[in-house]
Amino acid sequence: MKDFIVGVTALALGVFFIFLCRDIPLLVARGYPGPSFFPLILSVVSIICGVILMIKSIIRLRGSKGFTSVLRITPLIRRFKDREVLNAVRFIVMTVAYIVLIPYLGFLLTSLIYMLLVQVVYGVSTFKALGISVSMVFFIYILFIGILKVVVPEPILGSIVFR
Amino acid sequence: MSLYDALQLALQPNVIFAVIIAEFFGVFIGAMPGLTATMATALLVPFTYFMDPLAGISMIVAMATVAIFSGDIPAVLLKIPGTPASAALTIDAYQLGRRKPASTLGVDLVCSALGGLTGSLILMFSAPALAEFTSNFSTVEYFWLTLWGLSMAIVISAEEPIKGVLGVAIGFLIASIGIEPVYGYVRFTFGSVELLNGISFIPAMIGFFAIPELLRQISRPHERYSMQLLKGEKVFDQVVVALKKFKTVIVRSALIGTFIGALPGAGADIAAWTSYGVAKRVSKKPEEYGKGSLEGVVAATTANNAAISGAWIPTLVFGIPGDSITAIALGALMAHGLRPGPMLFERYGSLITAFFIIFIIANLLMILIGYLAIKLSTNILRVPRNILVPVIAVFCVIGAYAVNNSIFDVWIMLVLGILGYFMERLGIPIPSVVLAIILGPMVEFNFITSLIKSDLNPVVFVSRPIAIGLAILTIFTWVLPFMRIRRIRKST
Repeated sequence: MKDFIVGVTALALGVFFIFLCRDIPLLVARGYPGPSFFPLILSVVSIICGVILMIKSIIRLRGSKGFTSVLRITPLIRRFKDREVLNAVRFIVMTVAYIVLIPYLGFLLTSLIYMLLVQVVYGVSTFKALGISVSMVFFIYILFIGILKVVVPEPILGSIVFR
Repeated sequence: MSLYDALQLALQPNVIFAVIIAEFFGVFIGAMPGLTATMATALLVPFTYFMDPLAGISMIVAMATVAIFSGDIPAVLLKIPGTPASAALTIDAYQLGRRKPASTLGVDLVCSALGGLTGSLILMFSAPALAEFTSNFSTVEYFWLTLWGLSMAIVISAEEPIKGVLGVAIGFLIASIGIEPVYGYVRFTFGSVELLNGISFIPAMIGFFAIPELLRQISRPHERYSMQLLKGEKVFDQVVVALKKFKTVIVRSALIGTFIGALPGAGADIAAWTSYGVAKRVSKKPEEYGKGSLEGVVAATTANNAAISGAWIPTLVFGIPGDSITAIALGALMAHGLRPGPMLFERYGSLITAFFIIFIIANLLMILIGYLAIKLSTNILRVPRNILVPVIAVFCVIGAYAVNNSIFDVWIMLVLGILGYFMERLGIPIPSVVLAIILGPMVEFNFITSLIKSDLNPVVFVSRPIAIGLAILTIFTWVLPFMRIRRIRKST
């Protein structure tokens, strides 16, 4: 099943890049390879890899569970409900929200909220999580902003407190 | 340039301080199962931009050196390799650790340092000579060299070569975003100004190497390990006996490690497995391997640290990274205006010699810091994942942002990180993708430029002796695995 997914994705990727290459010259001047020469070769390589992987996985599945199992999506849905995958998805959602909020609230405040939230969601007690988050923000401020002079995103509204 | 100038540079207080801090960071990252030296390098690189070049690059060297040793600590105490480079020795080290954990780690530490020192000395003497040799290379030789690098990445790093090829194609396509290297044509930017200069390298590296690990760690936030406790024995108890007994193994493993480290795409993990395999084959007691063989531990740990130094040979000489760590470090070198190749040795002779001296210092300091790490190991291993992951995620964000002061780069990091997570789960090797991102534009530039210079004459690619040699090497890299498969099939 894994190889089938990889195969389909590789095929789609190859076709997508061939589509993108349609307006980019393949050859220039006296027939020298143009800017789309290499991307086109790689798109074809991607398509070939995809087809090989799809065929291999179909042959393998024919030998075991049968061809139709390739198209069954039940195992995928079951996998999605899996606790491990849910944990990863929750983390991605919180990280996306974190990055979205950085320009509005500034780096330090958003980081404080993010660290606190992630720790609490994954089972750390609120008090402990707050202590760790505050000390980490303080450490980041001293090390990166104070010593290394790294420029961190400031809030759109602008404030020294929020940075 | 004199050795005295280089020593003065290497022994500056800020450089030594940076090395010590990086070694402590390396100890922590290496000892935490799941967090790798590559991830730590990706996190460290953006901050080296704000330091002087020698201190910044020294930090990467010192951190990686110690992290590879430190990865052996959970192997001994938990039966879990801290980094992939420790996987080869895990079973033997754990079995030995059940009886004497501290002294097993003591032998491991000293052998790691010896491996690292040997690799550093080989780097020190071979890199300048190789650089002089390559000063006459044209685009043709560089084309074959980069193509060979990519071929090695496919053949070595992938369990299934077809997925390695796919990984290289994906990396190549990612690298083709932005302004094309020969004609300056804009490709695949979808009108985005941020993408004109292509995908920022460091955010991409943080994404590919750090985010998948964070996702893996947070998937099981409450997992606890059962740990062997240190039993109050002396750390360096067995060292002298082991060094006398295994001196041949140490020398052989250090040489194997350095050589494999120097191959593009082959990192410390492959060096450790190869050295372990060779040691088992020539051992007088091969039956002990897998049941607690100190010889096996010595072979693997010496080789993995030697590989760390060896990987810098192609990185500094050709600009072709030997492993994932040097692939990322290459970005740091470029950011400081240090372009690898023969000119680097000519222009920055003192700096490069100072850099080599740092390798020696880092390996010597590792014995002291490694000793502390062994003593504190049980405390390091108790840091819970649900606390560690959000903290590292914040460091990833600040690292990705700091390169260009751009939130767009943070998004690039996250998107490529999620892509990397799924690619890993589906068996596409990330090192192949990363190597293609670095070498892809070089292959394209050298191929097209060679054709333009020769007015489309393909014979140009085999018109010089070194080019022919490199072409044969590239073909051989592809043919060898098939020949091995045929031989195995015949014998069975």
